[in-house]
Amino acid sequence: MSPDLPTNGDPRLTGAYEEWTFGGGAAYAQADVTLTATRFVASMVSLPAGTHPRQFAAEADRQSKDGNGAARVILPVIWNGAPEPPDEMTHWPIVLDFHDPDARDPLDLLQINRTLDHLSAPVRRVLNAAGRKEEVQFQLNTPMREQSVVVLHSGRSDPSPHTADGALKARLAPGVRPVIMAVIDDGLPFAHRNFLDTAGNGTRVEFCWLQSSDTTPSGSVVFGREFTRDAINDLCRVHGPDEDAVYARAGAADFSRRHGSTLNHIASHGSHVLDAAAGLRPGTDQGDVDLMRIIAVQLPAAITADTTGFRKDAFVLSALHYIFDRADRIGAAYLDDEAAPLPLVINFSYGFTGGPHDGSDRLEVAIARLIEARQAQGKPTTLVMPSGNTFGDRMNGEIPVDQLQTGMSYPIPWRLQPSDRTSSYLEIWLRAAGEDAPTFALAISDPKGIMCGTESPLAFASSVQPQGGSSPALSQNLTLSGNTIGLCVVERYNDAWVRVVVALAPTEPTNPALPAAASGLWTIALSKTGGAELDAPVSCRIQRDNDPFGYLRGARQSFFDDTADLRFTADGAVSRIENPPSSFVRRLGTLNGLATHEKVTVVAGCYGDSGRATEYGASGPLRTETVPAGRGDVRVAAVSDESTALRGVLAAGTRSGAAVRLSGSSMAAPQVARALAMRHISQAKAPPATFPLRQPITDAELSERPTRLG
Amino acid sequence: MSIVGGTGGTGGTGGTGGTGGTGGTGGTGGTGTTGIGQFVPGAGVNPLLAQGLTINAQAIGHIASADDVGAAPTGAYADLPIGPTANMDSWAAWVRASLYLTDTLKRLDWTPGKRRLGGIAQPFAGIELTYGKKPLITLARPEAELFRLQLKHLRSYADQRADRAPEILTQVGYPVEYFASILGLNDANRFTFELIGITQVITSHVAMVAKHHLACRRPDRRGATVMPMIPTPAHGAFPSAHAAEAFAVATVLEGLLTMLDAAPPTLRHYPQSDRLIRLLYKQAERIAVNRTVAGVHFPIDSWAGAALGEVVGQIILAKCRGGGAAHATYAAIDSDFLLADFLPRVTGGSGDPSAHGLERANASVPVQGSPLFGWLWGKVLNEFKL
Repeated sequence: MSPDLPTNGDPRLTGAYEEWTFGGGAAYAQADVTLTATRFVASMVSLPAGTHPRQFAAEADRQSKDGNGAARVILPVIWNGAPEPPDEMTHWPIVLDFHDPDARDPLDLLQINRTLDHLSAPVRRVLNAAGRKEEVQFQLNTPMREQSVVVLHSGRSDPSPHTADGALKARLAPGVRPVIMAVIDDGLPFAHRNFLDTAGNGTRVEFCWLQSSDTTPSGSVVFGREFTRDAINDLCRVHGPDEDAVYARAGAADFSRRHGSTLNHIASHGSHVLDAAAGLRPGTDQGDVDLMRIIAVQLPAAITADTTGFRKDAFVLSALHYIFDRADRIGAAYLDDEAAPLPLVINFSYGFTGGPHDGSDRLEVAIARLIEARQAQGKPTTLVMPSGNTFGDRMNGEIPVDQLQTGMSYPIPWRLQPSDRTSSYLEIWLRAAGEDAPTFALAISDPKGIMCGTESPLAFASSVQPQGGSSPALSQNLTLSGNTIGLCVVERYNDAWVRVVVALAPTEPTNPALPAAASGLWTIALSKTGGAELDAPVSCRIQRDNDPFGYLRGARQSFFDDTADLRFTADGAVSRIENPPSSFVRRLGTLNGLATHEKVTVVAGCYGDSGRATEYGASGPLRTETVPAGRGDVRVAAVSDESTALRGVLAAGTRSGAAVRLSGSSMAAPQVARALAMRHISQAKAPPATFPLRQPITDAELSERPTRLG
Repeated sequence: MSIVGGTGGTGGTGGTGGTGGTGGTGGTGGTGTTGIGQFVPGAGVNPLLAQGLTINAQAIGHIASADDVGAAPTGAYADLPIGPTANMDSWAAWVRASLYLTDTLKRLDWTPGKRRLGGIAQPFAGIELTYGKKPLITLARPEAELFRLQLKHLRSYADQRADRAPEILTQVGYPVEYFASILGLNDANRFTFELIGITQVITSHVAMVAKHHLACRRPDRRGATVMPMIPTPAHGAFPSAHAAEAFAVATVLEGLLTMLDAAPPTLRHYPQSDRLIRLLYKQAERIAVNRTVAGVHFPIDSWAGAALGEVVGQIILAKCRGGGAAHATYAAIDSDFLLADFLPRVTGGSGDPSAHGLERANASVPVQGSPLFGWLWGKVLNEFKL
């Protein structure tokens, strides 16, 4: 997101993805994300150091009487321990309230940016007075259903009453204290009997937040619906054993036009994950599991359904604020002390492919700072995430330095699949440079080799600062035969990176009257035209674009179709190692793009029979003996498939008693989260060695892949 | 991560792998294969066998000498006994089925376009079925607009087709096995199967009368993208015969379990029949909703069908062991079909059927017992003696 204004003077506080999804590509949006008549849009706001979101919201409130073009800012639960470092930007979840759609102009990108500019004016005045140049930045996520947001004049909500479970509280003593397992996921069956206490008297779910359910008038959260332990127990009591009725009455099984609720399927991702993390295991040595108390946050279906991930930030970040806040309240209820050092393990089994992959993604920064702050309070806090499953999916590529010297051009081979009803996105990450910044040109050609038209040439510098009069921000529609079928945006992402985003339209738009991008092999030719030579390879990443388990949007994953990519070994097996250097496609560096910071425990999957790493488990960069281990390393694994013949591992389905088999590192992560949580409970602290980790079977694999298992 | 994606493959949902095809469930809601076998046997006699028997009779008949046709009998000749239930053991199952059916339907009546309010016939946009001249079920004909509003449910449920396909395909006919698996019925329970089967056959006959007079179009004639996953049968949508049959069976089996529970605890066949009863009704709901998932029924069809099935089930129970049926009136409003709303008596909870348009009379009207059903009931109870 560039803070710079394009030459026409229109403010631009949003980034590349907003440019396409709310601008040129808006018509391709599926019904749930149309913008024009939207009132509420979730957003992550980046505020300059020294500005608190409450102050920002209050200023916005004061201005909101201005009528058309103005907006209000609604704050969800903000953890009161959230850090405000004096010297860096901070990132916050907010809901933008653009007021009654009938009483204002339809929203479009220009209208939104004018409004955001207006909202930011008070902050800008303060900064300018201090001679500072930073800007407020916004990442707009997804329009929210109006029924899911409650409008409170204070912008804040009263917390729901929450009391301790008396029986458990009576048991607590030194050495016997609760641990909190928080799970952020989709389709969470909070009334499932696996989350009861061992006596079957009531649930261990202390708090559950369904982010996109309809609100209730006495809402304790500003969007969605919250259930406390008492409320869940009441629901279960009132509806007897009929879980269908519990979820229907709770508004958990929402039947909106586009999203059948995954909670109404036999299996959901969240049922499996929550059960693996915190489900009862009667008849096994499950430990004193009554001490494990649960906080569950269900993301909106639209967030799960869209695997590209750029709509998620506000929801994920507000989920963390919520979890931290409610964790403190659990401390207050059970130990009569909000500051009690209650251990918290958070499992977030989602994976994304885009991003800078060095921990500097804005959401990563926000998450890492939050965890750091809770740890600094003396409260053990662990975030567990999966490594991702895209090791062999051809979505990660690298242009070596010697292939992109000045005067050279590198053709990035990008294949779009037919029948893709969603847009496809390619990110090219260039290191931001100061003096003598490298300059580049882009030529984008369709499968027939016809070059896309643009208003002006796609030429830019990867400079850290705007140079004399020329803005690094570039935003050009891509046209073929007079139709806009895509967009190319170049923008300074942060001090370290310049990001190029190429967006292409669906190959089969839902509305057949709209122009489609042709399926087939597109060529994105990146030329180096001048400036200093590169000192590091150029990373190219394709955003994930497939249908997650339980959803059918018609997404089809695009990929790099690289003839030098050795996907299979000589004997026909799927390759488990890195490509030779001559190949553009890289399998190392495929790690989950939201798990490349220091405050996350990354988990890979392995086979139960052999202990061997799975061939799909994504991986960070290669560490050699001279390169120390660091962020982005996968250090632990759990079983994600019984064997190559019997895929997946068993855990709960959505209804009590159902067991289903799901595969992927998503299923491995919660097993590790559970083990970590139980170590807090266990009286005799188990040494790490008893943690069930397995070694890869060959040394060759170990040296090829940094998945250090064990 | 990948919600199971990537190369990990989706693992799938465990149970949906091997359903072994869809065989054995007969026609589409008519009188095909039932729990009592082929209702009207259609198989001809093997001509080769007929020839064989003819040759055979001529070849070996001489050894018995001529039949007893002289002036005075040489043996004792007795008639079959006669009586309401005499010879029931001897008749073919389908013959008994035919008897049960006619015995039940002889008291069923209706006057198209009329209903009785306070004993006086009045014009009515719907159908009212009476039993022994007493109103049994009154179904108002929903407006086209109401069906249109229900299309949203069809769309929502369609997402579950992959989940439920094995059930849907094996429930096209009478889903006997889905009830048998709850009660653990097996080959030793032929009369229980006969009771279940005749309940389904009778209920579908009653449902067809209602469907014929209400004449409501199916979802695929109203919504362009409903596109059912199975062929839509050529009869009306409202009420759902599947819902009717399933709730009739659940009602009858509840009556059976309640009676079995009267035995002393040491002789009781099922330890916790209250849980089985919940399962039976939940199964009925599942069978009804599966038809919405498949794209052939609206939720209000299930409401009407379930109400109809419940009263037919009560009649069959009353014929078996005495009792009566409570008049039900359903005037559809736009709602989903949830067991918790239809039968809070069983599910517990705050469900209110009348908030969804269903009224049940407080008092039930006595139904005359039937020796035929009484005979069957005795046979059924005999199968639960352990």
